[in-house]
Amino acid sequence: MSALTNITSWLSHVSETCFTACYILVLVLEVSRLFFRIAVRHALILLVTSAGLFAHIVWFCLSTRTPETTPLASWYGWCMLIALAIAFVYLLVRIRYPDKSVGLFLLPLVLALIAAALLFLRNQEPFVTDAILSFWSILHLSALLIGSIAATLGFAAGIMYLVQSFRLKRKLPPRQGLLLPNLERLQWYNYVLLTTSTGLLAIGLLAGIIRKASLLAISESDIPWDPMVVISSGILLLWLIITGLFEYFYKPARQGRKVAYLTVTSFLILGAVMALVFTTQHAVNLNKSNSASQVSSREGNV
Amino acid sequence: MNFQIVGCSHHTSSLQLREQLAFSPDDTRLALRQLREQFPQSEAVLLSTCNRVELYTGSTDGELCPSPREITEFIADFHGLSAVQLFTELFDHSGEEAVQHLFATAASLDSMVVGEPQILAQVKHAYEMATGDNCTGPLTHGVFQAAMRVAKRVASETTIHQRRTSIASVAINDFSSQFFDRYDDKNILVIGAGEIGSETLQYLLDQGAKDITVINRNWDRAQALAENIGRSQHHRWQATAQPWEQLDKLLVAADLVVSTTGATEPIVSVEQFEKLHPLRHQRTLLILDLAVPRDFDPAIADFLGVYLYSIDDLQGVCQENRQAREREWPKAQQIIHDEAVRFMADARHRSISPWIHQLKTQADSQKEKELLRLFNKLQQLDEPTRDEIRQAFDRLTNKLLHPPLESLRHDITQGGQHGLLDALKRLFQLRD
Repeated sequence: MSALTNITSWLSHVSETCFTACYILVLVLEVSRLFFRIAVRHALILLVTSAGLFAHIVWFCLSTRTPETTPLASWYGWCMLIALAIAFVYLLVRIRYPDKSVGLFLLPLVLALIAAALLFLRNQEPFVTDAILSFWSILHLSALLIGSIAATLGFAAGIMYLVQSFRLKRKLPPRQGLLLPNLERLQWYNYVLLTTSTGLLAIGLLAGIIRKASLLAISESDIPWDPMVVISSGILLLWLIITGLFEYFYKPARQGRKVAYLTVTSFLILGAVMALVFTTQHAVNLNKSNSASQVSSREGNV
Repeated sequence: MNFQIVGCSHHTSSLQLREQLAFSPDDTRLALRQLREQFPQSEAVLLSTCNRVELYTGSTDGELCPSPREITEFIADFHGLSAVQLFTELFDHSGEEAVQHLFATAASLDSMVVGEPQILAQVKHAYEMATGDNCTGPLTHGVFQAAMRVAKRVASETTIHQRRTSIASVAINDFSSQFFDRYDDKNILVIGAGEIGSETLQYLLDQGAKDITVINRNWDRAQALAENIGRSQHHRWQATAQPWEQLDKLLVAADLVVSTTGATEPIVSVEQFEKLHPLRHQRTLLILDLAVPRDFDPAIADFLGVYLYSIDDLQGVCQENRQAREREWPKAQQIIHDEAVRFMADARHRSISPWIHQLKTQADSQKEKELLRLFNKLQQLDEPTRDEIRQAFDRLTNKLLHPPLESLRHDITQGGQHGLLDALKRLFQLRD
């Protein structure tokens, strides 16, 4: 019993720094592959990545104590969850293809998401609690989250395709330490991730619209319509529809560099839309922050 | 202990002789059985591949091992050849040299195409076959297991296996593999029925290619190449020859084109390809133009989704690989040498350990007898004093045995040239 308490107490010290440090170390090890060979590097990478993932999961478990602190309940949790998913995919790819330099493309994304979360989103209030607990809200959030993960992975696959295609077009010889998956595999990843992300993001957006419409029908409105959210979501939805039609009717869009361009563009549009939506404080429980500021101003007056 | 090898390889013998001496799997089993009947105390492993026939024999007791001459006579008898002729054709190594040869063979440093991975599987198969027929023993178990470990070490610690040097192997293994994940669903077009085209086809078949079309201005030669490779027993695939007029249609359908014609002008111009390109819907096309002068206009490389490599592009990598392999070669050889020295030292130490054990047991026995006699005489001694005396006797025995045993170990590590083991056996009357 006391051992369990000790372990729990030890785990309670796990913070964002632990897994961020692990991912940085793994990235350094991946970069070192470009310059020299070390026999134990692969094992070390797997070990440190696993440690990072463990810390990341523990940190999530410790943070998730109330509905307001579930990973889906805030922008901060979202970013951290996407980072966790990409790090996990990286570990799987590293085990399956130990000689490929996929980490050079995935780990910077993981670290960028963590950095964005820590720098910009840490002090954000969680989403409106009631908004998280309805069916349409859960579908809206989950589909957007998984779609975002697919779009982020698609972005990495797209960049890898373009780099590999660039190298091969210019007939650059295969370089030890910078080996990428072949074009055929990258093209397949791009196609699958683009299709998945397009479908899920569209489902997520539509679920959000249905949720809003159903609340309006019963004259309830917890999250106001914001013109910025409506416009940006409309742009994203339009882009997804265009992408779907483009893929369906134009054969070259399913292969080669075009599919890579589509995945990269999808991710960039998604990123821009998310940034816009974030600036509008969409779904954020503003009452909580307002009341908190009122309390602090009262304390200040006193 | 004696470990030796008698055999021939592509380095020392002609293909004709290697064919005469080759052992099929059934022959190998029969030969091992006959060898065991003829030399029951000897362990044996027979390795027979396209490029080598090597018979490894050994025994922990060197005197029971057949001589290289006897092994040569055995091989000659088995194949109904003259032993006199084989004495000059076969090579033999023994001791550390034989161990080094096996390690180098398993690590593919002795192969015709250095770094080819099949040889390790062949060595393993030969060892398993001999083990299955009860022809192996402690010595061959040790040396073959060490050989497999060393081969893996060379593969992991050097890049020698990753460096290919022939145009065809670089084209398929280094370049084509960056485009395609698999070849069994790819449409492969071979233009020209030349030697390089044929060699490239072999590498493609090894990678699992199944749908191959051969096209040549001379229809008969195209058909001959398609049929010739189609007869290969090792691959399940389908090759078809098509008339030259089908070139444009085949280019539209192809994923990979290998072109090796002897044409003096490009056979595919930019204008011609421009008409075909829209029909391909920008599908990836890899063109390996291995012809001199080139078969494809270099400007075709500018089309989206088309990757055109000429022989010059591949030659750069071949040259680089050759240099890289040369740089890695000493490192690989050093690994082989170090591992062979270590293996021999361990094997020799293992071979003398029964004698050392016997000597120590003999000394302990004498010591115990003397202690017993002493304690019987001095019965008034208390237990602490007896312990002190026992420890003094132990120290004395150890101090007396330490220098000769150290000298023996050192001598054995050096190959036992000074015959200290024999001297020790005679001086201390050690018996089997």
